[in-house]
Amino acid sequence: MLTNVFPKCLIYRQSKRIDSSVLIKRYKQKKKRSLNLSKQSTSERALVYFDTYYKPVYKNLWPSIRVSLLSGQKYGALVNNFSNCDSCNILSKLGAHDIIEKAKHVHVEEVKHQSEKPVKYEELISSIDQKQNLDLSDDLYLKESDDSESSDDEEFVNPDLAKDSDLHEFVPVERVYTEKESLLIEESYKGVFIDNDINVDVVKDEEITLPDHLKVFTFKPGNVSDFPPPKPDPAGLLGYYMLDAASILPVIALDIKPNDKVLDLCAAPGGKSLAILQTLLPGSLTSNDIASSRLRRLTEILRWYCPDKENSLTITKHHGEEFNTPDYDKVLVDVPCNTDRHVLMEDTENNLFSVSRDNERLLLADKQKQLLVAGIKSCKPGGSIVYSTCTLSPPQNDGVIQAAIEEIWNETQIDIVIQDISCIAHKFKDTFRFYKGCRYGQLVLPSLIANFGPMYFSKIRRLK
Amino acid sequence: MYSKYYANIILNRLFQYPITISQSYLRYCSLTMLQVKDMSCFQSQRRFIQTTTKTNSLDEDSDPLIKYKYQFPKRKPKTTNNVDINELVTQVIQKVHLIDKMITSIPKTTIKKQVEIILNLDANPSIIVEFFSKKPSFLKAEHLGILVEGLKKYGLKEGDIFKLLCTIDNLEELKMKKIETTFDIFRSVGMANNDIIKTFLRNPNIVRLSYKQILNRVDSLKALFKTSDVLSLITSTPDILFDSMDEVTKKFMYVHQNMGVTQRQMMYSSLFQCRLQHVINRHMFLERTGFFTKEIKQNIGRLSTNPILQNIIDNSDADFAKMYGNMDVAEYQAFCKLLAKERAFVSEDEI
Repeated sequence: MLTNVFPKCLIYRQSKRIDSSVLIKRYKQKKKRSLNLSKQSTSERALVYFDTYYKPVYKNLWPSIRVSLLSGQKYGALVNNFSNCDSCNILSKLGAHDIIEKAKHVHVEEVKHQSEKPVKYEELISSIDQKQNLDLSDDLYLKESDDSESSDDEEFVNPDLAKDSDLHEFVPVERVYTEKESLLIEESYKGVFIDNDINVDVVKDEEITLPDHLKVFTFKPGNVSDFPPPKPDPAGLLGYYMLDAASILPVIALDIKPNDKVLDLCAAPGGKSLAILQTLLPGSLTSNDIASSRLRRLTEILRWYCPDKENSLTITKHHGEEFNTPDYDKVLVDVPCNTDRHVLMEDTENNLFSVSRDNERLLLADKQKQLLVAGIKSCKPGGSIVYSTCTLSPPQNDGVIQAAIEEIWNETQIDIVIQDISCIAHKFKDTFRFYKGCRYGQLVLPSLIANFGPMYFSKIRRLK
Repeated sequence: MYSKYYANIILNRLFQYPITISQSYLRYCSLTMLQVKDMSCFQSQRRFIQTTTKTNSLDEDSDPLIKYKYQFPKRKPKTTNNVDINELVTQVIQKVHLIDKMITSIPKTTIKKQVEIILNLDANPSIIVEFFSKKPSFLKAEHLGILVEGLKKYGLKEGDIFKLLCTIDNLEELKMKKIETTFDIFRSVGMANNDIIKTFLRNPNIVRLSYKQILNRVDSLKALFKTSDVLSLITSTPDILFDSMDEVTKKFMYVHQNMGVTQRQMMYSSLFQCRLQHVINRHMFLERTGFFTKEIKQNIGRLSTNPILQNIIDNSDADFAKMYGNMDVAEYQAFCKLLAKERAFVSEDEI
């Protein structure tokens, strides 16, 4: 009957129940555009960030770094000296070689420090502006930092002039930034390393000795084979631990001497703590981390690789900034960072580049600085602190070193120098690819034939 | 006036050369153009005769009643005049005897005849010896001479014929009748004579294909390309007639959907001559280095900044790695291995 009344309309029955309720719909429906727009995943967001901020820094090297970060990572095998397995023989038969042994045969010549000129701030900002279509030139906050000739007097308002000024009058803002734009501005400011050219001494001391008992096996450059899973010995300890081979470089930079008291400030998941134990040198090792879940993982790893009798190891759960007393000879500060490789591969809500963690990411550099300052304070005079990250971000690498030194000089009586560790880069030049443009440390760049890193490490010596 | 019988004889002799026959002569013979084309001598020689309205000047030495203008085809002067044919035959026999003792059963006159046929193809004597040592069966192939003459009449050059013979292992599969049938099939689908020759030279195995196979393949390709492009594609890549249509479609769909490449770019590149994995490797490398971006709907209508397909797949690994990222070939090869590992990992996951 209804079809007689409405012959040309679509009669749509809402349900299979035969009742009188029918919904008359028109043929044309307006599609919601928002449903068709594809959302940018967290890993894509991270990649866009890296293209914006890393590309102007690394220039011609960036395509090679980018493709390596997006490809499968290469692993090294850290031999477990506490296990009865003949891991060295097993790994050699697979075609791998010990990179520590190989580095020992490399003679360190006079290495001229050929650091590239740092990118000019103006060039960086203009390249970032083009990417984001944001005119940041009007931003007063940025203009202040750009003005290198400003003297201290000009920062303060002349009190004599203030009498006749109209400062009490309301001056409307020229431009109102949205939350997104504010975030972009904050991100662009924190994504750029401004070299303040602080007057810190870079000291070249006696050569760093490679630990005799530390053995790390990798396949030759170009070989993409994987190590088989390690097998346990009769005592239940595994023969080797697979890790990013570049992770051992901060441990080597520590230059641990026998009976040294060592602190690993951000120890979890435990690869570097394990490597420190494998040197068989430290008198005691304190592995600290703040997160319970991460500490559980650290405990699990140490259970598989270290015997129960290992009394030199202490695991603590404290905030890294709480360490202030100079109790340790060597301090390793492996701070939480962008974890470039991880954020590109893991596309989850827990990714650092998810929208919910934007503020946390922007405050990361400050957190890293605080941890480094705490590490310096907890080191005895004459001791060394090694700062390491697994990111390519200059503000989180050289930028944090610079900020920490400035804070130490401004707020404490501690005197520190940067130690020249270019000898490590020279010894391992056949295994890793190093970047020559770092100011205060060394940076391992990922490459397709040696897909380790990224790993930045810098050594600070506390004098008094 | 010449009768039709004599006209037939004269035309038969004239058809040995590419000549222009004047219409006045045809009128003289009381023949029309249509009648000439119907004549048996014309049918057997398969020559197209052009007619002009102008009467040509008489040649003093020629028959005053025949007005024709002839042009002998330009031939390169033979450089093998000084070759001692008997010595060459002896060398061939000695060389082939080391491989096949049965050569002694072939009469020397036959061997000499075969050697002369190849020598007339402007081949170097030392290469001829090598040629017969690798293909001793050609010495007893009776239809070699017919084949060579037939191919010459189709317009193939001597050098090309010799190169063609070098690529063939079994001469029995290459008979003149089969070639004629194949050429007719390609003509029926609209391919020009020159293109047919090019196709045949690139892949002589097209003679094995039947009419149905060729037609089916052309129809399948017409679903992806325009008709003119299909014929160009077959000329440039005859292997497309033999490849599985699934493989061809996979390559097309990958390049069209994943890379946003048009049919025009596919025509200019050697897409269907390389493996799909090669294309994928190159594309993924460019995407991960940042040189290739996936086209977004909003950007349609703007110029693409992606490199063209020819530059992606048609160069060597070393040049490609250098061009895109200033890397060396070892890094690109490592990338291909890593990609293969990822694929193996994904396929295990799917299982």
